Amino acid sequence: MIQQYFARAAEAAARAETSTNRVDRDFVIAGLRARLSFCGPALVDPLTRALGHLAAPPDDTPADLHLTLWDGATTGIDAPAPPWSTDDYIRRGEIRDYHDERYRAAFSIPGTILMLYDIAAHRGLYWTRDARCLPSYEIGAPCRTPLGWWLAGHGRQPVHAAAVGTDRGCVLLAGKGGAGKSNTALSALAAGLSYLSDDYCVIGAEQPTVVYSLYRTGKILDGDLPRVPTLAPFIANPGRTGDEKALFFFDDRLAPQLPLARPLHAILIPRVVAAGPTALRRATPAEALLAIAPSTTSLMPYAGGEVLRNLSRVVKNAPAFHLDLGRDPAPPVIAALLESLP
Amino acid sequence: MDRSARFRINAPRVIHEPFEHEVILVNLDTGRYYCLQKTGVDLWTGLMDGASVGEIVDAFVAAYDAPADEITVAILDAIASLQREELVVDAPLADPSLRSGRWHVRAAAGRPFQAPTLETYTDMQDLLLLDPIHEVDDAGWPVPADPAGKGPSTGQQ
Repeated sequence: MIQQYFARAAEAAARAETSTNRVDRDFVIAGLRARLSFCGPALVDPLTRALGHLAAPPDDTPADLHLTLWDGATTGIDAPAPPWSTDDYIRRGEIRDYHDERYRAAFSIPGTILMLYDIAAHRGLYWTRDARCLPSYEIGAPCRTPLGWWLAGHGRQPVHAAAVGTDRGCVLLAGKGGAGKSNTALSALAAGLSYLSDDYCVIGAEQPTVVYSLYRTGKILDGDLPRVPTLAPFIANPGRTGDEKALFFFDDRLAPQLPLARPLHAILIPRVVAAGPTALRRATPAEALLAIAPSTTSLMPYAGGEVLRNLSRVVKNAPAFHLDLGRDPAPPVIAALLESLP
Repeated sequence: MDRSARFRINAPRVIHEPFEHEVILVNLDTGRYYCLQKTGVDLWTGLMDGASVGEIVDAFVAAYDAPADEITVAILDAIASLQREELVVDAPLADPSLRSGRWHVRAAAGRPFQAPTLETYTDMQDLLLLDPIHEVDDAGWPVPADPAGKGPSTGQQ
């Protein structure tokens, strides 16, 4: 079923491509080249801004991924009507019975985004109804699902973790939402440390482990903005409403602090504590895995045992620590740890 | 519980990752994570080695200086927990000759017996819940409940 639907969706993408001007954008992600082919300009800025630091001039090199993206509103071409029922939308955006050894399909209901991927051909399709309705999380971390499928198929492991460090290396900050990942990562950036991610990054295929930047963005609750006043000029959604988080787009003004990759030196499991100093306590590899794996797998449609095994290798090769976030700032503690590790 | 009962991991729904002093188990269907430590690690490796319930109980009784009844109840309770969480399933046809025979309880002399416990982590289950779909458009695509939404609850923070 998924094969036939993919073929029909590819035909729709081809029609959208001929209905407007195609805009190609290449990005080098964790050492691999992804080519995003946009059908018209509507999606280009919202879906490439967070990836801008990874942009590469298009050349004749065959891309490792070809992802075609279009919107219905400006091209007049929608994805084929869903042959599945509303009961078939299941967890993680998966669509029941619409995946197999070769193909993946996922749908984001809040964004009305359909994502399809042909694993064998490294070919992806991305359709949304209207670029103006893209949720802020999609603009801050665009195409995370198809990029994740593609990277995982090339030995890279996308991880739900923040990553900060120094010139020597970086730490992953792992844990569920609210544990203090983003606050710690953005505080580290504001304090002068290197910043690769506040939420999502990529573990490379190398040994020793290397962490790659994916999105040069960050998010924080309004109530935590006073912790990072120097980052205020990078807020992209000053008119946000409700409890929408402030979204930062970092640019070359901070370039010296925004490396594309750093070797992994440790995994930290942050936790806000009521009182006491900010301090590190040794954690077991299993605790590190429990901090990093559940949210990583829950964010990636069809992720399974291979993610656990990949992350298990990572936690077995890097020391892990609980980071008790107390009254002292965390960045000096992280910097001192990196200085002390071999 | 039958002393001759044997179990295997409920694959492919369940996967496990062993560490030196802990075993992490994941039920991929539910998103639940589990952790076994200490005696739980010995219990798990025994089950995965194909040892019967009776063989496991006897090995623990021999290894620890604790009342046999206490150990028996603790081991049976732990196996029942693994069954209840559908982490293991019966393997009645397992061929005992296929056992590696390397399994043993790693008790240190004089160390008190601690009942194996199955720690359960359900934090991620909320992320896996899907809001019900109330409306679809003319083409059949679901209409978001909050079109101007700030993002779903399904982990896309």
